[in-house]
Amino acid sequence: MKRKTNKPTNKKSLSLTKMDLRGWVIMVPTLILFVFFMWGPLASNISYSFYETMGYTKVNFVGLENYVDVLKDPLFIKALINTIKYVFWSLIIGFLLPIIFALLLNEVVHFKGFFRGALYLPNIIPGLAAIIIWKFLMDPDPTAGLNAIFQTIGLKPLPWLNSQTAVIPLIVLAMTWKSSGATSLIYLAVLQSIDDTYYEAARLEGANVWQRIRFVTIPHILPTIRVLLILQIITVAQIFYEPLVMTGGGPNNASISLLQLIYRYVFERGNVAKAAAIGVIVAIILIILTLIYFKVSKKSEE
Amino acid sequence: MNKLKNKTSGILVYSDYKKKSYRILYWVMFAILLIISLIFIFPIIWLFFSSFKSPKELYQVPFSLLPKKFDFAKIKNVWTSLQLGRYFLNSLMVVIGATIASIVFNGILAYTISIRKPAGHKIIWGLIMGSLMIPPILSMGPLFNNIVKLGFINSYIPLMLVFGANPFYFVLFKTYFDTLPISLIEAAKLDGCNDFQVFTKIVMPLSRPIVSVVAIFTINAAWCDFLLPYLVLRDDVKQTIMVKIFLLQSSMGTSMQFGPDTLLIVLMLSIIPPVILFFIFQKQIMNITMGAGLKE
Amino acid sequence: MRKKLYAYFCLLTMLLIVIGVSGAKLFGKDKKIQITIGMWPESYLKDDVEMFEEWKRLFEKDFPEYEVVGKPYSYSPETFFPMAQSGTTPTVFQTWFTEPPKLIRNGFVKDITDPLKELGWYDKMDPSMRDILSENGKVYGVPRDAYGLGLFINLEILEEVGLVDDWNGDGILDIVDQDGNPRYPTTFDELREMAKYITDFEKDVYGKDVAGLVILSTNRNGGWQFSNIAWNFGANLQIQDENGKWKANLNDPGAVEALEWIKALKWEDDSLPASALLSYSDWYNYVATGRAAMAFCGNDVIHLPITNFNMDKNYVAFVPMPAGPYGHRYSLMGGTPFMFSSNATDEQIWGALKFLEYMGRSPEVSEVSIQSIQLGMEVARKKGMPILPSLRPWINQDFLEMIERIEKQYINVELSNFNDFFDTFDQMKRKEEPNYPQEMYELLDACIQEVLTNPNADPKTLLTNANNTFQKQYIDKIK
Repeated sequence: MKRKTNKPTNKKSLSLTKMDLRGWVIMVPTLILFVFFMWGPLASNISYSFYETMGYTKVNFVGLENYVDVLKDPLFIKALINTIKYVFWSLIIGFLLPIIFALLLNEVVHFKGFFRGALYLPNIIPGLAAIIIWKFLMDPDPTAGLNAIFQTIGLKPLPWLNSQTAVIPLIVLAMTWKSSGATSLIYLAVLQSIDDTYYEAARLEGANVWQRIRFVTIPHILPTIRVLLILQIITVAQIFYEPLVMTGGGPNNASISLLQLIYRYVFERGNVAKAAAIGVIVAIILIILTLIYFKVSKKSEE
Repeated sequence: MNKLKNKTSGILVYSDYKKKSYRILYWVMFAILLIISLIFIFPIIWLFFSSFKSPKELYQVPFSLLPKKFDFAKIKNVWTSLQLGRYFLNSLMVVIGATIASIVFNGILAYTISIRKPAGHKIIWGLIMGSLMIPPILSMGPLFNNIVKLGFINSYIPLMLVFGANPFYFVLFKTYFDTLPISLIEAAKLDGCNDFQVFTKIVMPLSRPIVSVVAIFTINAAWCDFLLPYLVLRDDVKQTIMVKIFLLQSSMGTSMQFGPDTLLIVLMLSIIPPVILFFIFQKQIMNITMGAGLKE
Repeated sequence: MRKKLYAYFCLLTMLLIVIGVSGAKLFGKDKKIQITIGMWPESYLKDDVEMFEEWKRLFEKDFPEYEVVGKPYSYSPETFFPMAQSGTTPTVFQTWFTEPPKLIRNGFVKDITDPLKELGWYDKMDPSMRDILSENGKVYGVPRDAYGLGLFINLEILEEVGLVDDWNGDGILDIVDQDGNPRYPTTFDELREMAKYITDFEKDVYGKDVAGLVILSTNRNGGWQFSNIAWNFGANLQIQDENGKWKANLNDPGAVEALEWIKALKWEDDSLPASALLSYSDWYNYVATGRAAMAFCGNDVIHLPITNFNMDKNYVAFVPMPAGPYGHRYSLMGGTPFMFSSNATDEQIWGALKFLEYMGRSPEVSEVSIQSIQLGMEVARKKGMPILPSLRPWINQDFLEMIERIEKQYINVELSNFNDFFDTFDQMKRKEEPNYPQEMYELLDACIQEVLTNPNADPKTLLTNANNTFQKQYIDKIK
């Protein structure tokens, strides 16, 4: 990410302002789009969050009442904790697996193309389709999906999405199925860029496999790990349609996420103001995470 | 064994494999990878075969992967009775528009900020980076209200233009433009090229790799998108295939006109275009993903 | 030259926006009065579309000043709000009986009391339904039909376990035996017993997993059906004190007992489906694929297992809701009203109301209404739907006679398997709880899901918590 200083400096100040103006004019169309789709809604979200609303009409200024109401709503607390759980499980399941896959892909020389293709294939399945497929497979009914297979080979059917403790890890598993192939290819690229001489040296010193991983591989992929880690936290914190489609947030709201709660407030209960309050809270969390991301990725570059 | 002889890079190389324990390790790794690959492919194969099954067959123990018969007429029937062709075409239109919008709008903004750098451009840069990780869907209420107020209900325009305001694609362009040789651009300007010409004749041709990356990302994202399209496209004939799937799977109560077998068939059909694209452009797509790794 | 190009960039965006805005306005410059019909069927339902086209043709022939435009819209709360606010609500659309208070409160629907009185429909409307569609004495909708909850029974499974037989020897299984005794469960105790008997029998004798009864729990469908079960256990979920102030009462002892009953079916008897996340689009999947024997549903959707899963219509019985332990016996009455956009003009409203006659959905007994009702029956028959008696939204004698006469020609099921429901419905019907029903159902859904997934769940605590939330977040805010 090296930036070159290519700003024309040897021009007269008068023409500079004219140039500037033209630069801004070029940007206008895109900026309109940013305002329309992103900054505008964000700003009005903030303003809505201080009002009582009827539909999209502001009725009364209520100060922080929406925030207080939302924080008192047991469902908000649940959604917040669930979202943290999603992040936690995605780090346990979704974060380690791609690294292991990449290591294996890098070492195994037989069927190279097949393995890469197989791991990557789920990534091109549209997310909605992937989630519905897993909803079918993880049906708790003893004669449906994977349970039918389990019963056929003599295993006991599992409760799958019925289980309040397992539901989040299972949704994360479905997400991991979809995304881990792509992530492991990113790691693979980094692994392949490691100079062989490092391993050569380690080998000559008689390092075993674990030591080679520990002292050569890990230090080399650490910067990538750090960046992808934060990136993953931010992405998973935005989890939305996966629980919406797979469980509707159940059982007993054990899998409802923050964004899904916003959706429920806006489109099911028609309460824009409370949705806005939650939106602002989530935005603040995301901005903090983003700042951490920039810190970490800067550090990785050094 | 021959292949192992050529193994000269990575943690283990051929000289290691002279040891029996390492050879065993190798085949263990191979076996793990094989199992993982099969697990990864299984759901797709399951979907393919299940879509031929009747509702009763779907819930049958003992389970059989293969359906009783491969009834292609049934699939054709679903295609025609649901008029799926229309929804695929709608999706295609959105994808094309979204790709153009995504390249043009994000590209121009990145060009201005990376190369033109008008005074105060850092403000824009800061704003965009600040919203890098905030999904538009977070403020879905006001966003939807915006769309409604401008009369964009049942219109593809917002679904396309939303890709023109994507901080992530913007950053991809900007990062790439930063590496372009400034001398070429300066020279073009001295030759009397205006901004438009510099952008289309110099910058874009030099940036083909990143344009194709953004294009592929957008195609994929626009094809898969369903929430905003679901909210915006009220009219049945305007809906995209993903919206149709979302409605099929979530339709409540009496409006549900289909069994699960129909949903499976539509799902199967919906993943065929991306799968075909994948097999044609497998190398390029995977290289892009790997390339993303090296840029981190 | 340069300036032109800059301008081009800006124009591109502006143009797109302008096209979008004005595009909508270019149309509709017709002199005719346009009425948009929200209950128009989706384009893939070819038979139904044809039927509507025919109605449209007849209507426009008689009233050439009108233009009928089909605009398929199936109601859901998440889609309605944004649509209404964008002013694109169809002139007339279908919704649910739970929705009028919310739609009226937000000013999305039009008061149609005057035109109804002019047409003489006001007094012909079933008073209990008119009541649901009214607020402060003003009527806001026309009932399309009503449904009552009852118990759907898969006779094939009941025969398999020896509970029913072809008693009268006409080749069709009968839920009522030759002495006229019902063989279906008439109390919740019997229902529980029978469900367990079926599950155990199927497991022991055939080695199959068959649920005795389906209990729904998602999409607010669980809470909706639960409120009926709770009533029959003696509960009132919302109560009004002498000052007219409402109070949430989800933890009524009857409701607790009802939830205990569900818990017992799940954990003591194991006679429910494994999944704790079932919605109204799942029950017929279960009964039609032989994975469940019985399910609660409205009489308006009995055809779904038959049309969507090719279930044999002779294997279907539909019986009244069982009575609770203290003799309470209610059937939740809901239905589909037609409501009208608040943006519609008086002329449009009049046209839309008149169009209902052409659909056979009015109290009018005219040639055109008879024709359209018959057309509806023909299409239903063509689609292989079972044709059953229905609950009548209108009470004028000539209408009742007409509909009875037509139905007689078309009914194609063994009536004795349905009669008890239709004969008793009038004494059992009860309308849904008045305040924030959907929000209440959402909270009840969660309680049911908890009971179905946690063997140690305490129904009383769950309902008490839900009650507190409901009181604080919704009931307290009623002004």
